[in-house]
Amino acid sequence: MKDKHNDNNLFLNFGALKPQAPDTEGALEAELRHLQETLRAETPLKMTDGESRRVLNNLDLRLGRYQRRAVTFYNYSYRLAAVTAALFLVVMTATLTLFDMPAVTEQSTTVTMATDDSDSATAADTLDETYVYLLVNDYVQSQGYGSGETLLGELGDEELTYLEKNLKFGDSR
Amino acid sequence: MSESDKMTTTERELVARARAGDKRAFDELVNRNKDKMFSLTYRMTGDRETALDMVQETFFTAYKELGKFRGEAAFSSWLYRIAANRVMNHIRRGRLLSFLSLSREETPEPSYIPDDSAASGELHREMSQAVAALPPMQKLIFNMRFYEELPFREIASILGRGESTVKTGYQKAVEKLRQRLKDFR
Repeated sequence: MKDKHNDNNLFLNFGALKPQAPDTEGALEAELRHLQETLRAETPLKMTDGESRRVLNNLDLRLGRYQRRAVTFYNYSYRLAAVTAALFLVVMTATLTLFDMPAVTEQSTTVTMATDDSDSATAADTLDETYVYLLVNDYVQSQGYGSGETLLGELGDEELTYLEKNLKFGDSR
Repeated sequence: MSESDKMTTTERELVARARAGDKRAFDELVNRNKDKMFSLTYRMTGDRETALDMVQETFFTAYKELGKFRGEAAFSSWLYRIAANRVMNHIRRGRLLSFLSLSREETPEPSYIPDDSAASGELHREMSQAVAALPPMQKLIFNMRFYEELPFREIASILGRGESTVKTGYQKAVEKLRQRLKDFR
């Protein structure tokens, strides 16, 4: 830092101040150089030992707190990540479940409309009726009855007569 | 890049060790640079306590940001940059507070001026008062060049400005000082 090159650079601009007479230029530069040396020698701005210790102690305290906070955050970040992942799963599951539910509700509404207002039945309503019929049929078969006719066919004459008299359904209505 | 700009091997090792979490290495870097930082901040602020706070802040910031230090310049240059930013922010804040206080009295810029009891001569006081009257950026450049003996290129790198801009700033500062010291013979 104190090499010749830098030293010259330092006075480069002092030299550029253009003193009134060229012969005084050297004198001015020498004076400024002396001024610089004098000022530097007089003002070694350093911390006292006490100040230095105080700064270092305070710095140590702050760095210690900073490191502890960093470590705590590092530890908590794992827990935070786990909790976030769990929350994400819950939210995703709930979203997917809710996303499926409206489809079923919509289907049910369509079926209701088809049965309530058969005059204005559209192609979609017809399809829905077919779908309902298939569902009912599947259910009946899964219960082992085969179909309604098969079920009634297995009843004896006496049982049928009893049903006709005591239950209000079908043709007897 | 001049020799003074480069990091010495030992400094490089210390920085690497400090980055890896070696507190002793960082303490060594602090010890090597604390007086330089104090000298600059004290000259700029003129208040020992403020300067001590700034030195502490500078090293604390350096520790936190150590990962961002690329090692292209000397470690002290990087510290000077942090300290210079702190100083300029301090001066700006002071100006703002002075403006907000709506005081009609002109508040002098903070700067180091030796007290009468010091063993310093009249010339020293006159010079310090002349430096104190400089605009903040010129004062910063002048202090870095005249007292800290930093090369223009390094000052330019620290302040993030062009070398010619720094030279011009220094020349203007010197010219103002010369005018002020003209009668002092």
